[in-house]
Amino acid sequence: MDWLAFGLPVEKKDHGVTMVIERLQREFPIARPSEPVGGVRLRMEQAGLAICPVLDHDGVLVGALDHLNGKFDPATPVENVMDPGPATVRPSVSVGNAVKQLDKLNADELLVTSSDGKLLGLFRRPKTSAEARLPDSGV
Amino acid sequence: MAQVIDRYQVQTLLKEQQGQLVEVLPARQYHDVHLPGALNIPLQDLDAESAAILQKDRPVIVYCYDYQ
Repeated sequence: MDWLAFGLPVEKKDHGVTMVIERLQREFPIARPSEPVGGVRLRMEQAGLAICPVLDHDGVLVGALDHLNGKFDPATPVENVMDPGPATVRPSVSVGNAVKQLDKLNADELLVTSSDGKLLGLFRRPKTSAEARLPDSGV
Repeated sequence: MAQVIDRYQVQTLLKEQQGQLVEVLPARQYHDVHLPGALNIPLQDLDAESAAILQKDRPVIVYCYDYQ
């Protein structure tokens, strides 16, 4: 499970459970704690994302910026307004269970991290059941 | 001699010494998901005969669900 938790490659049967790592978005904006929040929000809007991970210089997730968190002076450092404990999911979790977690959070995006806290990517709510392969998604 | 190694050492052994991966979980779990290139020898079937398929001049990396 350590191997899976770090998003390392695996082989599986064609109709096995679909894991989050197979539906990972790896390109998206990130922020640093000391950055002004105004520029980060602009990048989030351009990317069409509701959440922006905040990483330290080792790539460890230290928080998340949610553009729904009210209005702030654009010059405010991200670390002053970020959520320091965002919800995350491991890459080995099934898509079905990840969708359940999104339902509980009333969210459409989840941050995917390894067991040592490094950001691996973003999991977005599947648009269709075919995309999620829900019958095989471990629900 | 057997020793516990981490994922970095596994990757190094695979890349640099052509390590042989062996999953000792039951066949059904192996077929659900396994490490790329791993052979499946369920623990209850592991003996000299089943292990004869392994090459003696290459490291053998045995893994399960968890190291404990």
